[in-house]
Amino acid sequence: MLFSNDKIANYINATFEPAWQSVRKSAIVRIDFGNGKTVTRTLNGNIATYICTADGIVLDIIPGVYDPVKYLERLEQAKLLHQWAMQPGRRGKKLTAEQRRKRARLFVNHYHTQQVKSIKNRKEPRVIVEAKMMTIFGVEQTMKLVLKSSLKGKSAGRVARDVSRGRSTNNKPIALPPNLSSRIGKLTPNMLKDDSRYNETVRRIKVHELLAKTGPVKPSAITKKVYKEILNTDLDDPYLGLGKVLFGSYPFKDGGK
Amino acid sequence: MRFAHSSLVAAIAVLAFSPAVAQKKANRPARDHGKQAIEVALKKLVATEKMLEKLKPKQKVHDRGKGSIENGLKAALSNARRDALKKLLKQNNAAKSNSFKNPKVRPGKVVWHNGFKRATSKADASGKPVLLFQMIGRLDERFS
Repeated sequence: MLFSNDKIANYINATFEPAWQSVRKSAIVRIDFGNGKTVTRTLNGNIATYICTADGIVLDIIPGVYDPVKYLERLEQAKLLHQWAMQPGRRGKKLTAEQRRKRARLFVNHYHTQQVKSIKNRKEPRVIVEAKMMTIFGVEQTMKLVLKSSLKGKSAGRVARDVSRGRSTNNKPIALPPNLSSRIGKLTPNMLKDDSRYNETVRRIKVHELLAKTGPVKPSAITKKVYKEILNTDLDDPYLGLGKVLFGSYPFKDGGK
Repeated sequence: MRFAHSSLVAAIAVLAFSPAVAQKKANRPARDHGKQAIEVALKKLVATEKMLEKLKPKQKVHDRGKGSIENGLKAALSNARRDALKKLLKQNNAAKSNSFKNPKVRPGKVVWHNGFKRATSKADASGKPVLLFQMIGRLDERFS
């Protein structure tokens, strides 16, 4: 599990103020084989990680299940995103609550609109890069946050070093993986990687489109929409989308007549 | 003799039924019998009733107060309520024992705040971003 991973858990504890929330009770399948053996599994679960300001405004959403490496990268981007949006005011003054809200309003709209354009035009999103600039005297200046085109196979850190050294970036589109349905059972590493790729491409586009459209909102305002339109799980459906599968070809649905 | 007798009878009859005689009767004032004629009989009747009453055994009615009625009713109601509650608890426990119990687990190694509101108030002080992890099921349950 993600939060049992030391690297991820330590990074979250150090960087964020974390909280978890259950949106619905899980659907559990229990098969009793009649010989004392039972198997218990969950059905159609899904997750979403919201990155918010101290006022509860959603800056970004990490949709679905990720492999640990990709999830950590996403969290690093989320931290830079918050830093970029909430940069201190003039002369390093801390932002007031009103200034934070104003910034969030402007930032959310700008960032996600840019990402939608980038994905549509370049077939890939942009990454936020923390670039440390060196002066001619070799003194390291404070970081500069920029939105740069991503590099396939390269981490944001590598991109940052390239930007700092003035190297050009190599833009390549990320291939869209096939549509993945939910599974019963433990996710294997390959499944996680496939899920991560799908989340990073198909689902992330939907996240950007949603947040560009809604503007600054709190998580409660968009939870059902996120689950239904992005994670393909209708929280209001009593059978969580499995009604057709369960009852469509069930021979005894009419009481065995 | 016979003639004298019959003439006497006739004379009396005439006198009795003559209008003058009738008029005289009508004019005569009613004889005051006195209240005794009525009262005596009534007094005798009342006295008899009183005697009969005295002969009956006397039953004293005590004023018990509302408690005698209410307390009994309250006790009966509370017993009924207690029985109904016991039955309900029994049914509930039976239902629970049949249903699946999702084992509790530690929610990873992250130190979670107790709710989104708590996390935002802490973020206000620390300047850190808030991470809200949403899921179907519970992070502290094995099957979720």
